[in-house]
Amino acid sequence: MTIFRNGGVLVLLSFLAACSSGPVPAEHINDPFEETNRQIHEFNKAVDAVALAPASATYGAVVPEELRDAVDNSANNLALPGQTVNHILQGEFADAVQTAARFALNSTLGVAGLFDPASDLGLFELPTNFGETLQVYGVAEGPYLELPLIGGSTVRGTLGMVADFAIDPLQYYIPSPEREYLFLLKGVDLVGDRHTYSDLVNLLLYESSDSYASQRIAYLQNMRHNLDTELVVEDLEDPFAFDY
Amino acid sequence: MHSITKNPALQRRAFLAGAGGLMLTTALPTFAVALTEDAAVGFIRTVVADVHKIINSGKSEAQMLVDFEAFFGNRSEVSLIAKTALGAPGRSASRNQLAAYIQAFQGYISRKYGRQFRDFAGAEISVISSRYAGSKGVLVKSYVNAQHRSDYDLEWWVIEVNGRPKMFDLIIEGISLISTERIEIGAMLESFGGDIDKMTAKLLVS
Repeated sequence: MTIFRNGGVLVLLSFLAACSSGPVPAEHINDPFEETNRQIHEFNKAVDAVALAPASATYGAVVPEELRDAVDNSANNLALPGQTVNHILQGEFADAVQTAARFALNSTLGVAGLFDPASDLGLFELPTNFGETLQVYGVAEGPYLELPLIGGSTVRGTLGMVADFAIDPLQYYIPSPEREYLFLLKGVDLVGDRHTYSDLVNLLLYESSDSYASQRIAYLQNMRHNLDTELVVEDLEDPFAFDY
Repeated sequence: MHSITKNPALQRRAFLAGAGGLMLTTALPTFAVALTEDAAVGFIRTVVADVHKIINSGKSEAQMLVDFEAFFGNRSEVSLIAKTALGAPGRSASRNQLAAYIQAFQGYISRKYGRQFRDFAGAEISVISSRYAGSKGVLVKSYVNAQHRSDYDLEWWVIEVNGRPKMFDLIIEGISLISTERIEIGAMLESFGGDIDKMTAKLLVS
């Protein structure tokens, strides 16, 4: 079963790798599924308007900031074992050690991750995911996808999300009822994040003339930035091109 | 990319580019001269000081927006940003249409981004490094340590216009203001069937 699943992923990966990777210009958009993506975007926006936005407003009003921070710390802490695996797969061993040390410290001294003493010691979060691991192995980002309830992604990002779920060590160590609670915690944290970044999300979703296109460029540019595919100076457009 | 510590090779290149540009300046007064990295970094330090002053002034949001618009008009090349966001459709616009659009764009963009500043009282922006891009200007990287939210990267694209450094683009966690506004202005123009005057009227109230 596991072998079959991994085999399927491998076939997809070799297909994507054949599409070749390399740095992508900052404004590059590859969106052959735009029509479907736009329909999903409207669905996501409706879900946000009727459920997520009101829930996050209530959450922000009812739950004190200290508790919201603790939930956020705790959810971020749970992501660290998976991130450690990805750092190892990427050959970034120093980052893997820092992430593992952060997890050890915050899970113990930080009371199961509610607090973040590791950052005070300079052991900052080094976020990564399997999408980045795929990029390190030369897999191209592939077409843009907007996923139901999740939002912006790419083919590579989506495969990475599935893989992240499979390689997360926690799910093999934590027994069943607790595992579901942790899933719930991640859900609550999502509501919290929607509250923390409400100005930005509202700007993007409700104040822009084409929220789909705005979200797409924001997602793609931010994702490329997080993957250290820095703006290449040679790729900068001519700033005086429209000096008419 | 290199850190703020001096890089002789890059400085020499910047100097030569500057010298080359100087000769051109005599012939073509408005031609952009390549900016040195040091000048761009110094300029961004001034800009950061301006931003710190506004966000920590303790003024009301409305007053901060006024300060921000003045800051934006002074430190960035607003007309070029506005024209870049509008792109090709601007070429066929009349002089008056374009002037009205640029004026409206300045207010719109100052309100839109100025409003984001209200959460940033106490934030600390530190300049980290810079990259030289020849005649395209200099990218200056900074790091924003904000209270109550994650830290983030803020990159400033500095160009030289008529011998003075100006902001051209702001890149927040990889997201370019120019790219964002190009999409926004494009979508707005399309929704008015390509009518720049109607779009300008909309910008005035956005």
